[in-house]
Amino acid sequence: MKRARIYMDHHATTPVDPRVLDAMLPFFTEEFGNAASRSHSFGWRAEEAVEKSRETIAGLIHAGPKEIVFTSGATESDNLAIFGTAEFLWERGKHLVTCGTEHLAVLDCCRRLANRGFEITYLPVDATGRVSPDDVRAALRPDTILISLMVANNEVGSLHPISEIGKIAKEHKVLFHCDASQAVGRIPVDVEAMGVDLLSFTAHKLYGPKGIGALYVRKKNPRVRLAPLLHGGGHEGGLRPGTLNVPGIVGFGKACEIAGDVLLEESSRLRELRDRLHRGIVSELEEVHLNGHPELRLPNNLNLSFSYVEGESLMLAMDDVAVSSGSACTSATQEPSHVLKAMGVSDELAHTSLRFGLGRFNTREEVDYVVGRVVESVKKLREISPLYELALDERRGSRAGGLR
Amino acid sequence: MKGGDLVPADYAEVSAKVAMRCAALSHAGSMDPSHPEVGTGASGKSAEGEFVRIQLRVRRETILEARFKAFGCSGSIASASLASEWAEGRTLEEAGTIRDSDLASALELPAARRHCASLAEEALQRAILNYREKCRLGDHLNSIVSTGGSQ
Repeated sequence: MKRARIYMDHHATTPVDPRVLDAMLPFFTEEFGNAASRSHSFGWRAEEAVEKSRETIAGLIHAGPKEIVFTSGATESDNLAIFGTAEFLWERGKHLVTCGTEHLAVLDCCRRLANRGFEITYLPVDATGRVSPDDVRAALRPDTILISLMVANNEVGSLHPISEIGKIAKEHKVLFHCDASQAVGRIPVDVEAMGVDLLSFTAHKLYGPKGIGALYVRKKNPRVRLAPLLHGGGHEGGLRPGTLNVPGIVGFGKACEIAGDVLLEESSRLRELRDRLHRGIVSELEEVHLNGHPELRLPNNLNLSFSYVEGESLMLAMDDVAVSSGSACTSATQEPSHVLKAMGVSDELAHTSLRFGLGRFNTREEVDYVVGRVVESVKKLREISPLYELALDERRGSRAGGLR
Repeated sequence: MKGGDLVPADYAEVSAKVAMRCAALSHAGSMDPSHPEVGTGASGKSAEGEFVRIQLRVRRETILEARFKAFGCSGSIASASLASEWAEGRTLEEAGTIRDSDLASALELPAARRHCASLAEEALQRAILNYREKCRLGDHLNSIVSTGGSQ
């Protein structure tokens, strides 16, 4: 009998909501026009659909429609924000501030800039994965041109104090970029309240299609100017040439519309399910450690380390449940997750981590099933773990020692 | 790493053979390492995500029993299990010829996971060595006892 597969890896991607797919389908067939065709109704209708979506998408993050630039996804948005700022402002300064727990879409851009003579400050995080606003303030220099920090971490879900950092950035007249891929659609994001100048996000993390994302670029207070990465036409205010992905944009718009409607209710439902999963696991297993902030993190994120059990073997043992691990077997030296490392989690414990990401279509029954699978699999693997045996022996030894 | 995923770019999927072995593991367990007939060998570092231990119970040069415990990816667990299975019933000399390349091809390990088999080979070799050292020490002690001391 084929076992049901349960998807709990919504930080990696989400399924397309059926309502999103329905909204997209006509734009593959009868409404196939190019949004840049000004001479006929095919083009007009495509343009109309794009502009309607742009308004909805902007609304979800409290931005204006003219502040939304469509890209292929958050990685491209991060590249456009970082390289675009660096190329536009290099004469003013060559210093950027970021953090060790950022996504590689930001870290790799920074590394590339460092090779080109820019200086990068990598801020530390505390044990819960958050940066301190004081550290941000202390890192700023007269030649700092950009701060780039994610709203929510993709591995442990921890939320940086973005609004406080936004204020500091404003005081020092430094541009502030946020990768909000994990946050938009899961928690309220307001670019005005947060004081953000550039914000990357993507459709496929909020039940939209893959291959479409956006960069929010502030139009006033201050008006942010960037150099484009691509050249070849005046689309998207000259910042991102290329024929627009109309079905993708329509899907992105529908996904944002749904997210706006259900966000608060959905996030509290997912928080409940997430806490039920956590409680279920720790009530049956000892030595399970939470990675990330206990409160200030995404409502759907649960990142746990199961002492003495390597994460990848645990994933295989419960292969009907889709999750991610901070440990992966590669040809290179086994390097555990850079995020957990930056948070000061020991290498051994980092290798035992699993990331659960709950989503819109997960049910309470699925959560209870996953609790059972995790508990059963961890117990089985601890039975064959030499580290667990050693820990038990030590415990017995110290108990015996205490009785003596 | 790629995308929002945690998976590194050179991550290699496990083979069906590894998955099958992990689903029905044989030869997991432990023996008293202080027993004179038991040799124990280990390999790997827990901080690097891999630590394998193999133990052998030997009588008259023949491995009566082989048991493993492993902390590591499925490839390491499967390799240690298979190495133990192959070693059991063989002489120490025969078990000493078990190579990581043979384990890797039997388990269809991809090239990126070859080191999983190397850990099992190393742990097995060290278990054999540990047993032999124990015997040498035992013989030495026996000779001390039978000659009434070395002085």
